[in-house]
Amino acid sequence: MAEFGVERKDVNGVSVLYIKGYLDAHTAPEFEQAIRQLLNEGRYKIVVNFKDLSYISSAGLGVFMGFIEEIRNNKGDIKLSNMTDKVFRIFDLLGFPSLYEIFQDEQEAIEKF
Amino acid sequence: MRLKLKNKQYLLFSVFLNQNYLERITNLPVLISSVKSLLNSTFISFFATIFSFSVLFILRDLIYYRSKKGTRKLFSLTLLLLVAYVICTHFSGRFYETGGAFSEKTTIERILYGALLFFILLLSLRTAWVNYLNKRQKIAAFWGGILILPGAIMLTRSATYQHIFYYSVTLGTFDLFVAHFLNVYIAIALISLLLHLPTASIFDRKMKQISSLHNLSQVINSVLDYDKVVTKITELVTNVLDCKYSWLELADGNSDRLVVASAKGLTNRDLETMNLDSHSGVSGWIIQNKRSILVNEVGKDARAKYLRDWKKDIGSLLGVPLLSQNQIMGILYAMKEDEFGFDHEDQQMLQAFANQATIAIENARLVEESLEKERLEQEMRVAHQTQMKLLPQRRPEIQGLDIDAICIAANEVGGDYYSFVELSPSRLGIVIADVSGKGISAAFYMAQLKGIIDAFSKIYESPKVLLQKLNRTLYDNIDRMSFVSLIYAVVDTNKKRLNFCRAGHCPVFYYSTRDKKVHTLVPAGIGVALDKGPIFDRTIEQIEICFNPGDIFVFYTDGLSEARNQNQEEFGEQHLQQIISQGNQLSAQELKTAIVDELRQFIGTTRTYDDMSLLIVKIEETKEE
Repeated sequence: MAEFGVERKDVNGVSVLYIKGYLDAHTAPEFEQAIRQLLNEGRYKIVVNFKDLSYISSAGLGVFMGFIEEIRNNKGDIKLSNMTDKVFRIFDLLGFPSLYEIFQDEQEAIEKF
Repeated sequence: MRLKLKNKQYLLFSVFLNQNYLERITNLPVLISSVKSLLNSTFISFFATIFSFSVLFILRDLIYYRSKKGTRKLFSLTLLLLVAYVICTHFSGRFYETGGAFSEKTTIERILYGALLFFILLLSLRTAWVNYLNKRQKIAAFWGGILILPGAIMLTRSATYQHIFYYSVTLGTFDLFVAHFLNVYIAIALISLLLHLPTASIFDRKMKQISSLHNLSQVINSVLDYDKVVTKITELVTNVLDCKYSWLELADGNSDRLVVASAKGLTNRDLETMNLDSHSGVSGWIIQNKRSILVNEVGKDARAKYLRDWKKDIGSLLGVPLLSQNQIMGILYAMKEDEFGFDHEDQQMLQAFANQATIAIENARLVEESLEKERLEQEMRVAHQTQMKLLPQRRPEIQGLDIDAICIAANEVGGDYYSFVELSPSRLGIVIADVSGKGISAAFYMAQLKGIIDAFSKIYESPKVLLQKLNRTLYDNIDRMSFVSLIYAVVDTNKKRLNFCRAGHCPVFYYSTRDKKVHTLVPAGIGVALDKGPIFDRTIEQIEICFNPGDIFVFYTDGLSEARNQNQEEFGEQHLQQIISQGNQLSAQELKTAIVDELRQFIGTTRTYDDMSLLIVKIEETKEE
């Protein structure tokens, strides 16, 4: 099973998180920690790049829900990009496209802010 | 006079006297001049023999102390030679010939006597017990020996032993030899004691240290309670190093801070006001250098000076790291009021002690963790049982519907749930849901979900309205990171219609007899409790299917379609559709079995992480037609 990992890149006011591997109940806390860190630094404009993510479970999806209210209340947002078809289908079934903006490309997402 | 004696006292003494003695005294020239001296000889012989045996036993114990096998053999050999020598003397009769003094020894006697002397000298060197006396005992033993030895030597030279010889030469030889043995042993022990006296106090401390290390290892083996272990550690440190304060700082698991785990000699106020900064001062130095520190003059050492502001009476200190896999797990401190209170031996000893303590603490932590793990597993079992109890215990009986369902629980408790609500004899509500998250919280939300649906299904006829109400209710009562994907369907056998809404759940597979195809039904709708209301209400879509006899509806959770085999391949939706298509003639139960068998075969022995649920509704052929 591919190890989960998060990497971060700051582009002006926007922070991009690159997540890879499996995001499930076991690895969700690590992702949570990464987002919490951004919020602690006052960075509320976040793009999550899904390029190397192979699987996301409901616990992984829950992480987005856990922070979105706080982020939007601070005039920020989480935008998602570069999803594989499989990961997109999971998001789609659950109705995430009506909750989050999902982009083909990371640059597109950054420019949207 | 002698004859008189013989006649008068013969009967009296013959009872317990040496028969030969009475015969012999007539030949002996001296001493035996009265009844009194005769009695003396007898009693002295009697007690001297008891004494000799006692001495032998005591000497044996002293010599055997921490001895090796060779010593025991030597001792036995010496006793054997002694017996041989005594027997020789008995038969040689050298004593009587000369009338009260021994004549020249025979050759055998000479050899035996020489060997004996050599052996007792060897045995007398076995004074290992002296090492194990503490200083006070050594001094006492030394003075005791000094007092006893001259007395003992004088005794062997006194007339006392002459008495025994007159009584019995055999006994006399034996007793005298044992007395010599004792004297030699005492003399050598005295020398040994004298040599040990200067180092006695150092030896004492070493012994105390060894025994405290031993004590600690016993604590490790017997005490598994974390609090007791840490308390014992500082207690032993103050005890062994004879210091005023000792405390143990341990790294807090979550931060890199140090926390006082136990302390001896410090008040609560001291503990509140102490500096626990792990980056500066003595702690900082130890953490940085990963080795122990000895400060002889706390007041003059830049690293330790600040301690004086905290406690004025600290003169010298020792601090040693507790290293686990080369990581600092904590620091053990000992402090004395005197300057130069510790030496390098103390430092080494405290480090050895800390190494033992590390093991003890790690053991105690492991035990605590495994208890915690056991508790969590127990919690999981309860969660699992709760989850299973929430599932319907029997299949609903609605005319015209053939229904079966199964929930295969994962190794960890998942959040799958399904249920049936019998709305009327011809209407059945069906719920299948997957609560996000696992364990207790999932089981808890599931129970909440069941309660809400059971209540709402009696009030709201439309699945869409029911889900909108459910979403608002659950949104207010659920943790923000949790949500539920679910399908709520109502089957009406009279109207031959199935109405359902999908709230973020997997599609419904619908096998239609009309076109003999499996359709994937995915009406719009987001998961429950993702949104407070507006978006959910706007997106949720309800669809209606007019079914025919033989039609099949298959509901499932993503645990089933995403189940993986050892090659990390997913079971897949198409695979599921295929089985449904092929098994369209089967009853609900048969189709369920077919899917489950196929699934089990696919997964093999791979561990599953999510619950897998399957719910099949087949419309029965109406028999009247």
